[in-house]
Amino acid sequence: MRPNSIVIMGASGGGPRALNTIFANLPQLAGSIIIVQQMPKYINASFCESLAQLTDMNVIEASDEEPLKEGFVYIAPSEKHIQINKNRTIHLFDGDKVNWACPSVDVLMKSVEWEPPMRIIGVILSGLGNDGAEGIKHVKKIGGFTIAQDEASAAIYGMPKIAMETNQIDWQLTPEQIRLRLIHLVGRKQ
Amino acid sequence: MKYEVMIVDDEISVLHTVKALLDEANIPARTALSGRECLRELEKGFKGLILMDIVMPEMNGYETIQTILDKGYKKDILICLLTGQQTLESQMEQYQNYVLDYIKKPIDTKTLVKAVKQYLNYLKND
Repeated sequence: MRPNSIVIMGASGGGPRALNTIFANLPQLAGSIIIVQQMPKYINASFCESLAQLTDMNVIEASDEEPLKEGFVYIAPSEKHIQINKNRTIHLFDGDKVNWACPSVDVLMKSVEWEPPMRIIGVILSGLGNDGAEGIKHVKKIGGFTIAQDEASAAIYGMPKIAMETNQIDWQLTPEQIRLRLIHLVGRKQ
Repeated sequence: MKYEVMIVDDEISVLHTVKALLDEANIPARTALSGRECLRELEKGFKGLILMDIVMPEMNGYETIQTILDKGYKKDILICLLTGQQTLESQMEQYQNYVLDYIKKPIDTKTLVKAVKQYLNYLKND
């Protein structure tokens, strides 16, 4: 079934720790979650498996042309950019790094469209650099919600800091709070 | 394949403390006093998680990571930086694919052990 929300999360260093907390006991939600976590390609599969053990959501590695489904978490594979086509299907493609990143959170976030009543939620977690700042601006521009991890809990307060400096972040939260906010915004799958 | 932890720091007290924490958690670990020693261990076949200090004489953490990548050690290792710094050099951005975490000094035992187990698990399940 089509998701009622698209949640996009971006992270690099320290991201796995934050994601572990967010997804611990996370129930099946009525939306789709797409995660860009910077990591070596050779741990893509084990990263998916590790996250899958924590949550009732279905966690899989994203593949090209895959339709978004509610209750699913899609992990962006390393070394390819990822976009969402018309808020429906995943598109993977080769390209130069953006903000030193491939996949880039900006590239992903800027691909989603305004489509009420579907909710778009952008989340920037721990990491170095400024990837995600332009994406956050886009999410707000199309009427979405935006979250940045707080400084105290972030292993590296780089990406969240730059996101905060856009003045387009709705909430600055700990990973535990992010989990609760997602349950509230997206709702549980029926 | 046996994956271990390598602690790389020019301060012997840090090496001893972190190794003791990992020993108590039954996590196999070895130590290296410098970036060069780290590279020697890799040449001898080390595979696993590298906990690397940033500020080291002769070859700092950034230079060590660059050399690790230049020498092609891109599989069977993961890197976490041990940092007492509030900010990191912008040059670290180009390594963000390879540096999975930043563990702040002074090191919290629970955080370290939990993170180390998680990252070793990523390698074991690969």
